[in-house]
Amino acid sequence: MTEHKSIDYNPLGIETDNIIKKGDFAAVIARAGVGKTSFLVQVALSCMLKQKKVLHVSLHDSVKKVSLWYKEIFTNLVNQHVIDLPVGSLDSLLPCRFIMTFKVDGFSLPGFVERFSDITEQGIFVPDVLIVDGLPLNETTDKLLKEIKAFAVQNSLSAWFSGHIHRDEEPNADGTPAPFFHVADNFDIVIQLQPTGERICVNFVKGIANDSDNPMIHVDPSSMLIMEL
Amino acid sequence: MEYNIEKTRNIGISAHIDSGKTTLTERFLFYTNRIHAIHEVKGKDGVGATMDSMELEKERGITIASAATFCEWNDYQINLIDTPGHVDFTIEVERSLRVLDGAILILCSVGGVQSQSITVDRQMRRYKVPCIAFINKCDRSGANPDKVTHQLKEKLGHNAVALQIPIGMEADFKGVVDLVSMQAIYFDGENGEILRYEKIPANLLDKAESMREELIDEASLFSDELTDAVLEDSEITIEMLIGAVRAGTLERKLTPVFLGSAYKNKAIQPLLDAVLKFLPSPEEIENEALDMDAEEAPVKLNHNLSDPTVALAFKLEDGMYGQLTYIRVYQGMISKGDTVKNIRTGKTFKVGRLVRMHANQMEEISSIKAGIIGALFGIDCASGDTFVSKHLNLSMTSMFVPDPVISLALLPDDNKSLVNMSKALNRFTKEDPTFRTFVDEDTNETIIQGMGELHLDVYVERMRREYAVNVTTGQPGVAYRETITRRSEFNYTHKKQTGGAGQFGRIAGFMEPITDEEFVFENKITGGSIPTQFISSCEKGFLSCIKKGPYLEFPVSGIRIVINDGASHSVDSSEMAFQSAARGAFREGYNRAAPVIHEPIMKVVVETPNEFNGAVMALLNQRRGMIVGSQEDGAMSTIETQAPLAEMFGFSTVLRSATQGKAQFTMEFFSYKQVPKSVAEEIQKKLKDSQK
Repeated sequence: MTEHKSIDYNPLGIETDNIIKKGDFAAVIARAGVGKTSFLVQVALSCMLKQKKVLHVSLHDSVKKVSLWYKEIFTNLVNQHVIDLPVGSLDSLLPCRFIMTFKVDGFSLPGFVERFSDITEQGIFVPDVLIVDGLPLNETTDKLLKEIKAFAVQNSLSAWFSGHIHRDEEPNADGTPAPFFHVADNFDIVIQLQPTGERICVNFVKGIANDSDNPMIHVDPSSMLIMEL
Repeated sequence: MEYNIEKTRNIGISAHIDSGKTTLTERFLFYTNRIHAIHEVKGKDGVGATMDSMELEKERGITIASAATFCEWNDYQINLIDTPGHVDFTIEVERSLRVLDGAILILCSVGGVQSQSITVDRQMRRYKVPCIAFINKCDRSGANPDKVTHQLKEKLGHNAVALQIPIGMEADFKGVVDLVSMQAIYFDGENGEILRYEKIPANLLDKAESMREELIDEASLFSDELTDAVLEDSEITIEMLIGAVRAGTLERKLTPVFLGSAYKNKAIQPLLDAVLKFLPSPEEIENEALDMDAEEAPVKLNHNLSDPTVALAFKLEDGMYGQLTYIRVYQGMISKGDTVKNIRTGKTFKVGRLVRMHANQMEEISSIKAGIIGALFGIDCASGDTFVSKHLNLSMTSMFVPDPVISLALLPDDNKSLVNMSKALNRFTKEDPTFRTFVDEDTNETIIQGMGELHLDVYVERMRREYAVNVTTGQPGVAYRETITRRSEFNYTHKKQTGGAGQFGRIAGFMEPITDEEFVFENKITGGSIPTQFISSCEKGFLSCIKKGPYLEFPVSGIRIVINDGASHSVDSSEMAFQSAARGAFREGYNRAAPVIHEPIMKVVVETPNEFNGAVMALLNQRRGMIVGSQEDGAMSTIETQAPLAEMFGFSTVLRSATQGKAQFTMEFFSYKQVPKSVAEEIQKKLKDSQK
């Protein structure tokens, strides 16, 4: 497997490193089908392009399906000239990615730690970034999130989560959608994806200011790519 | 028995290795009175299952070649193909699926959907074979048919719906509840041959009723009559329900699930009934051939016996009386004494003896009609050949045949073995398109090539047993390839003056890497600097170089050569001179084009209990495997890796010892990828040492 050169690709318009630091948690929240997984895959790819190692944990998709997400998003990035690489070069990025899948019901921190040690202790894969897709972010997982946070700090990991929100439930007083507000304090950064007409708006809810220093971005529903407005 | 295409079923039995395919086939043959005693697969009773006709298969307890056999059940004629389960022999599975109209997908009630089941299922999907599922081994400890049905949905994406529920489980497995007729069925007698129908046990009544509701719910999508009956709350007849499930199965949108234990002779007869009820007759399947006179345009075939014949040879076997060719007739019929044409060779031949096979016993018949599987004697042909009536020019679609990835040198010990070996190799290459052989010009060794270590092992064993060949095998070799990584120019002049007419030719141009083709030659010469009659010599010269690359003598692929200039001499230029010039130009350009070695990368999927996860990952990592991911499913994990074939020799032994024999793996070719520099240097060193 050939090594690739570090490539600067920052889907959020801000260097991913500057958004989230070791031990920090970020959440991408949206209703079902709005594009949380593809958003996380773009975050992961931006890290992989900078030669950071990404451990992608999925609680609802198979390894094959997660791999397909990466392939599709990477192909779209190449075809839309967002990154200047041939489509086939995804192969050279793959050593920077490790996919772990669990059943949502069977997911527990001890189980995850055991699997994590299997790969890290033998030096098979030592991740810098953790992507967790499919863990319900509600009152039932608050304790688990705090445990994962401690684990992430201990292992110098920054972590990205996806969170499913419901439109039929009332948000809390500061407008944080349900049921995410139960666990919102665990996160340093919160990004909400909101479909509005023909595009999906990317709103920085917490941790990043929606101001003129940061570019306005949205997700193109046809390619699911994050674009600047 | 009279020919009735509606009452014919061509079915295959596909599954993971050791899930009980051969045992099930054996029971089918017993209940349909084709055999009169039941034998165990592994030959514990010294006889071995009837379908495993090859001695080697009996010994290893695996099915290598598909044996075709037929049997009769309730006035229906069933042609059965027993297919091998190991991934190394998937060409056999694929070939079988090509001629089948339906299949039984066997799953182990303990192991569930394993990686091999996924491969087999993918193949069935490719050939659009409707299937029913049979969850076997319900008598085993740890049996859990509900979990397997769930896995069928989750892992294979089938719309699986249970048509039976078990009465008792594991050692207490007694029979099944049929959810269509709502009866309990028990299997009495020494071999389960006596069926006893009773009322559903009280403790299972609720479950049976709710499962039947689920079944009706799913089935109603495929029948308006059933939907109406549900909406109007009127009686749902057995025929209505069977019709709806059958419609869903034929569309491949529903997979009825049956269960039982072949080994304990339980619930096999209801499965035979299900084959008749839910799998299609040949008439219900659309088959197409390619019209060779009309640029391979597809032509629909029909089952009229009076139409011209179209048949496909899907398997060859060496019998006592010569070559036996298994065929399926798709249109018309083949009768004794007919003259038919082999489309590949264009030769016509007269049909001699026609037989119907029952494992290694045979029955003479006078004709093979459309939709039927049978065998011909004494025909010289290869697997995949199409036989048609003399005036037709149709070919059945060719099957995808992958290139071999592994080679092995053979050295016969004596002269007799040499003669027999060539006979054996000739036979095997005809039987199996993924098995190839050639003689290495440099070493004079006979090289065999195939799809994996086990694939070649089996052929070497067969040579020893069936052809009495004493042979020494070399180390398995990996099919490396060379390619270039950048564009480079060449401008080479070949000049020789040794008295008499000399040799002169100059070729200039460039070479560059390409990804989608093996070799492309382009002539962009203008003004006749190389005369037209010498252009083909240039191409010939380049082609001779790509067979053995100048870098490490591996075949070169992925290269485009463009010639755009040159020079010739009115007397000294010749075809020979330009071929030499091309060879020189190739060497010149190639060395500057940064040549690299590519090696075959295999997709290795290991299924292991969770406790061995770390050990298995370490094994794969040591073998330069790139672990794509790991999937946890209860107590088992599936680890998916891309690993170089060169590192995978002997992996099965290492894996067994590292996991107490509890893990298993499948391996199939994935792609060619560049060899890391350090490994390339090692290969180079090894090659140099072997040439000393």
